[in-house]
Amino acid sequence: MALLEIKNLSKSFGDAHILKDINLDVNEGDVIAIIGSSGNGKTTLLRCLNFLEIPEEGKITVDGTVLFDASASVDEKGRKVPVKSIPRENRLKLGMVFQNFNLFPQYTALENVTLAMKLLEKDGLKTFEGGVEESAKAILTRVGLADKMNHYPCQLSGGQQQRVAIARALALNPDILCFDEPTSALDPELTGEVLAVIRKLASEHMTMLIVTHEMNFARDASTRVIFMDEGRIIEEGPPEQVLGNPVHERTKEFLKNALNK
Amino acid sequence: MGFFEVTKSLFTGLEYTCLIFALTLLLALPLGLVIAFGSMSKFKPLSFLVKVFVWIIRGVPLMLQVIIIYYVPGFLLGTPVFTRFSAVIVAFVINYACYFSEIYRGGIESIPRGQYEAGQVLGMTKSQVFFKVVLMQVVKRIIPPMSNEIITLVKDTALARVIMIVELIQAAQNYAAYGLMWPLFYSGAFYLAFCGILTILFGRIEKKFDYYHN
Repeated sequence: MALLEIKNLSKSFGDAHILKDINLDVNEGDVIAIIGSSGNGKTTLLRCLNFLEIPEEGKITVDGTVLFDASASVDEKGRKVPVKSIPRENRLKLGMVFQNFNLFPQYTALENVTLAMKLLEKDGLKTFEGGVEESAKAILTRVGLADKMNHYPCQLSGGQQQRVAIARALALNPDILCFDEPTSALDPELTGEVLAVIRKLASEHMTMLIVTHEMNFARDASTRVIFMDEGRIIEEGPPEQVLGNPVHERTKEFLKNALNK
Repeated sequence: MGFFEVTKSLFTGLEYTCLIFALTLLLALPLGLVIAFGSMSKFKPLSFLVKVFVWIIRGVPLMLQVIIIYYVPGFLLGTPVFTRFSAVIVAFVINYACYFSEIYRGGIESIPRGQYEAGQVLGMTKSQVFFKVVLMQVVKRIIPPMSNEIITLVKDTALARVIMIVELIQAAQNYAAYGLMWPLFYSGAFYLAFCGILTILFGRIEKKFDYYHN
């Protein structure tokens, strides 16, 4: 059984149908690069998986636990009603790293990592072996920030900030980590250090979904590439196949433009 | 009438000024936050009503509000409802809470959505995100407009005289009737000192938040 199962996922904003019937299975240790032009639903897919948007249709299952099922949402008369809220623990199976880092500016790197850990531990939703502080420090060390723990985000470079954001998401031990264009806000020099961290996580068999415009990274770091167009997954497969020998016309066209940059 | 006597009676006036100032701050700061949440409510009828209320309170002179709150309830019920002092406090608290609410609203709405989203994906509840992540950033952002408004409050306390409360200026003006002008300037010095202290205080608070920027 796949670690993450996405069935018939759909999402619209008003009349705009952004995700149309997305089906995807992700196995443990998969590193999936999601590519495609802007406005074709890549980010919305990740946002739906993290419930920053609530899908209208579909079912999301992680490790056998149903996190979301639109068809199960019915009122007392059995009529279908939109899902309004998501249980807190269902948000913890997946982690999210944003394009703009979204660190908390008033807290140090270490506090950024420990804040949610402490709250979750206090509310009895998670425990951290070896203590919150110690495991947060270990994770910041893993992303190469052992000497920056007490720095505030404004004292860090973009690349360092994004690594703090990765550490913050990792600290909660999610089953799957999602990245929404993690290097798009960074200049090329800083992009490398963030990609290196993600590569390292891949080598440690972290399951990841990465929306990216870095084709080289997608080619050599992912286990599978997904091409999205107009709210659908229209091509998927191993990177050498999708990027090197695409079948679909839209994929060919996109790659021609993307690789000519 | 010597310097000592004038100082003594100005200090009596200052007592009222300080009391009105302190009580208004104490009550209007939290009430303002409640009003701010009301005007940002997703429940449209509520936010509409609150916005109309804020419009009225901000659109009508505080002096008139003081007079209305002191006279009108007593007139309608045939018996005094508020003492002079409590009428002033009620009017000031409502008025300042409305101004504060707009400052809070501006501060809260200026926090990027990504801060809420980051808290949410980390499994924090809405109230945890507000109190642990957003509030402190709001406070940093609203210190300058708040200090402005609070310094205005110091001087607005003088409006209490319209219902015969002998605050600082009234205390000084009483001497003008005897041809004594310098107590007027003397009372001005009291205000200057009061606002000077506040300016220094707010400067220090601002510095406390200087350790980070967005």
